[in-house]
Amino acid sequence: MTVSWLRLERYALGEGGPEERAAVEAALRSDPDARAILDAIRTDRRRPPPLRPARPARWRLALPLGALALAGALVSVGLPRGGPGDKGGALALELLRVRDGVTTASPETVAVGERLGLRLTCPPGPADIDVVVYHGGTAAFPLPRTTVACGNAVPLPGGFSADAPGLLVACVAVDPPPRAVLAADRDAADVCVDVMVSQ
Amino acid sequence: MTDPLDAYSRYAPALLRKCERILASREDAEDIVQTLFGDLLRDGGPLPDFPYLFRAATNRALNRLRDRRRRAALLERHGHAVLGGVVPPVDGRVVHLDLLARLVDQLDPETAEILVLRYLDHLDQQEIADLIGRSRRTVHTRLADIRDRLAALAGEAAP
Repeated sequence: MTVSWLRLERYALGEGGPEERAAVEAALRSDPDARAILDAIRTDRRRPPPLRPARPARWRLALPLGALALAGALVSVGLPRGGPGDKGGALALELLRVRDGVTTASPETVAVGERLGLRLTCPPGPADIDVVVYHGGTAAFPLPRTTVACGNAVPLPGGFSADAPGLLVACVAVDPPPRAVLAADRDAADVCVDVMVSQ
Repeated sequence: MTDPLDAYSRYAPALLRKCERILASREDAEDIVQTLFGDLLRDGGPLPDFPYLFRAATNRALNRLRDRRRRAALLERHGHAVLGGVVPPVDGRVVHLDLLARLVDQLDPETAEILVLRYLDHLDQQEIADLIGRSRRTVHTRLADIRDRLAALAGEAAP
């Protein structure tokens, strides 16, 4: 094979200068093995699990103030509210994207300004929850704290959107701690989902 | 890129594929990549570039193979898995997980890394030399050693 996995991964990521990209493209034209690898990279739709790292100390100090700033950047836009299910199991969270009137669950990407919502699966019964969204290094609370009737894939009332590109992580805390705690520590939430926001 | 979470979203899929090529286990690959980024977050330093992450993932995957307890579990589940992915093996040499584990026992960490970069990631000698900061001659010598050991182990395995 004339080009390595490393170079092909970087090519797929859009990295490397014009010369390197031209060299990879030349290899792809003549090397079926390289094409097979690039195809494998591009067709791999598996997504990494959400990252739930312990935050470094300086983030813990910085986030509570930053969280207040983001509150205005995430706009509550409202989403259709469905009826609660009745067979909840373990906690699970799904992101919903509304584009051109069509709702898509677990989208690969979302765009700035698109309406987003959440669907929560939780053990049957009432649950007090709070939604926290981490984006651009800060945290925001786009939805009011509420009580939901848990079940399978229960749509949470309301929605939000992002006003800038980058990774967005939406989390739900059940029996939530104070918002200052959630803003400072993502591990304080119970379940999260992430998505890349594009321009 | 300065946000570790952005870096995770961008690079984790490639690193997961990378670790899966070595260990034949998506579950272990996810654990390694999550831990790698968790450590980067805790360290709080500047984010490394993709080639550095590629090497870091390689060495963490190899460390998992060196860990006796984890290796036993891996071999039980995936010992006969053919490593490397979707293209023919280098030098016509098929590498199974159990063969890689036995090689890793015999090789120093840097040579084990060279083994993976050559046989599973298909880097050529110059690319390996550039990546690990060694001369091409050194890489050539190490690869000759690897080939000898591969041949010996294959001979051992023959009936």
